Amino acid sequence: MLGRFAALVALGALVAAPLAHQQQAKADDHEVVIGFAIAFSGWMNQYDGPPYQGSLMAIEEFNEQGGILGKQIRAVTSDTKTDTVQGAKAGADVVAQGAQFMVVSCDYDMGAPAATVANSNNMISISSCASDAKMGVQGIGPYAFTLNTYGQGEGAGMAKYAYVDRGWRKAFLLLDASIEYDKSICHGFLEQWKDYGGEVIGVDSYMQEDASIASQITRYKELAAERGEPEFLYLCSYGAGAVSAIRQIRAAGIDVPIGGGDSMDGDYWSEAVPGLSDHYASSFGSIWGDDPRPEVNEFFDRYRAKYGEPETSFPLNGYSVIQAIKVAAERAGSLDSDAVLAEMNKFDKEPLLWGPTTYTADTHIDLTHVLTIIQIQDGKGSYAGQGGAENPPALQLIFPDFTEDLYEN
Amino acid sequence: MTGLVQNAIDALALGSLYALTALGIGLIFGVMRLINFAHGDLIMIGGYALIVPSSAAAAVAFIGAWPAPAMVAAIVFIVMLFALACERLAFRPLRRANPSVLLITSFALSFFLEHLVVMIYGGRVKAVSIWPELLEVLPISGVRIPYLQIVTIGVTIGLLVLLVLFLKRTPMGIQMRAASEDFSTARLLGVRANRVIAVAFAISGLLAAVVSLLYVSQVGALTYSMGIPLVLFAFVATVVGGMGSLTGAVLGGFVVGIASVVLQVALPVAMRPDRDVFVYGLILLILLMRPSGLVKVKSIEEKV
Repeated sequence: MLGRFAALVALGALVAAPLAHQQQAKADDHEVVIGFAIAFSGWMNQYDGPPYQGSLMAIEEFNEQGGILGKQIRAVTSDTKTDTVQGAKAGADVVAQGAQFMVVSCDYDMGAPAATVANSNNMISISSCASDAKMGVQGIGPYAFTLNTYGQGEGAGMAKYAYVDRGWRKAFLLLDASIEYDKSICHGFLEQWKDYGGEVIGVDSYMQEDASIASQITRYKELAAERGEPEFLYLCSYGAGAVSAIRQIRAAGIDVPIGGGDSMDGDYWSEAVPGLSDHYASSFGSIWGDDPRPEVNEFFDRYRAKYGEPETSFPLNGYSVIQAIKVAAERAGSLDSDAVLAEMNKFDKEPLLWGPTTYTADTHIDLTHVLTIIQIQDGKGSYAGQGGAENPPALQLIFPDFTEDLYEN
Repeated sequence: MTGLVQNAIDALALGSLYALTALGIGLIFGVMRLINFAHGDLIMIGGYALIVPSSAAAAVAFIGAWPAPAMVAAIVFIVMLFALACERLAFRPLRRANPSVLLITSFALSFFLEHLVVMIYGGRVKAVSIWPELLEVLPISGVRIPYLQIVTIGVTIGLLVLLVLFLKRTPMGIQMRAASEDFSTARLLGVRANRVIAVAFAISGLLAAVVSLLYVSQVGALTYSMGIPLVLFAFVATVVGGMGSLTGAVLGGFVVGIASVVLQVALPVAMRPDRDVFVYGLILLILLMRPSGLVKVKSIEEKV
């Protein structure tokens, strides 16, 4: 995914960065300005909107408690319009509006242009949920962070839940090979599953836009007859392609427990599969009031009162982004980027709302995050358990693009 | 053996969807030499018409909750209306324009319709379940045939027969064939261009609505871009089949559908993610051997 947009990102940053320098307005000494260069329109808005609501809740709450270092927090915004070129402009725009910190889109491709602008202004940017490790030092620069774990970690966490907590031993993997995220979660699952000694009876693939997965189902049935029924099917996909695959799998009478990544968070999509049961997904917390962490339940109660029923757990991340800035700035005793950066780099299981968060100088993504596993039974979502990667991986392993040859062994 | 039968039926059902879509594109190309890329968005609109317009994440079925005959009638009506509106507002004023201008107009229309849907419904996947009972499996031992596959193949055959009867037996059908053979001469002979083209758009709307219902009952999910892959495969199908030939469009649809199922089954697992490379490779090969497609059309060849 890096290659596709690299040129656009670089071009956007080149055009936008000097502009931003010229126009930069100084923030008032009595306030902290946080710039949101995210999608307020276009399809990405559905993913950026809920974390943004979480951020606004944090800003309101912290301001009531006295803000950051005694200064009130003010949000400024600019719309990326779900467009990478517009993303760089939006980044420059919030810098011009005096932002001292930047929040960028919930996806590497969509968030990178604005984050690049922030980085070239020596400004900290945090993506509220990009799960690509490139959203950090290696892909953007030293000032870029993402408040999520990486795709492989999601897969590994699900393997832990399935193998250790549920005692399942035979797995089938179905990969939607259309985007890197899907490959990452499948890869993470597979490595962890094999580590535990789990059996994989088959791997098959399809593409997000395939109208039918009938031949994959036929193959699943053949393999199940040959090698025994799988106890778990890990489906590495997202959006419509995942929903459609689950509908077709269940319709074919296959009632094996199915797992998925955080792209399947929430239960708003379960309408597509009448009476869906035994579906498991990675998530940041349960939105149904049964999370073992009372602060999460309390947060969603307040969310419900303000915005209505939450769709996914992503508002937690939006809240945690502001929390991370507050914690680091207060520890640094300053709003200076480098001072705050030094504190963020020292986060060691920092108790943010979405969960303990660890960053180092060269990993600006939380590699050991313990995810929540949610389940759907009879079409209704609820808390199921926890899944975290056992050990953080070697850094080069999370950049498969750069280490293709490693996977050949 | 059962594996073979199973895969054959899977391939026929997928081919049917592509064939119906290709037919909708082929029909318009026949009468006005327009490759209508917005055809896929008509399919998408048929899907979105099933739910209550809202950007809330949880979709609420509206027309999708009606009894089947009313639902089919309403979706066909809505999509036909959109198809006619596209013709009247976007394509008719440009009738005399260069084909490339028409092509670009169809792209613009396609973007317009997609962003209209994002504006009203939001960008997140919408779940909608119509006729889940169609996904149940026909009780035949050994093979797994959902009723939906039988319905898809049956509806395709039925619509093909009806379309052939319409084109061969009705005055309007004969005029349409004449227009597709040579539009200027047909007009000189008294064929009314506006009416023929409007009817062609209405029929392509009907075909899009049917594909929409079959497709949505299969996948259960809506996205604003759901029509694009269908229309791309269908466009390729019309080229493979022979531009301008309706038989060719149908044939091409089946070739593309069958090729992708056969390759999905036959390729080694590691190569399956790259299946479409082979599908399109095969298509290139067919076109190298038969540059004007499987079915040659005289009226097109003379112009080239």
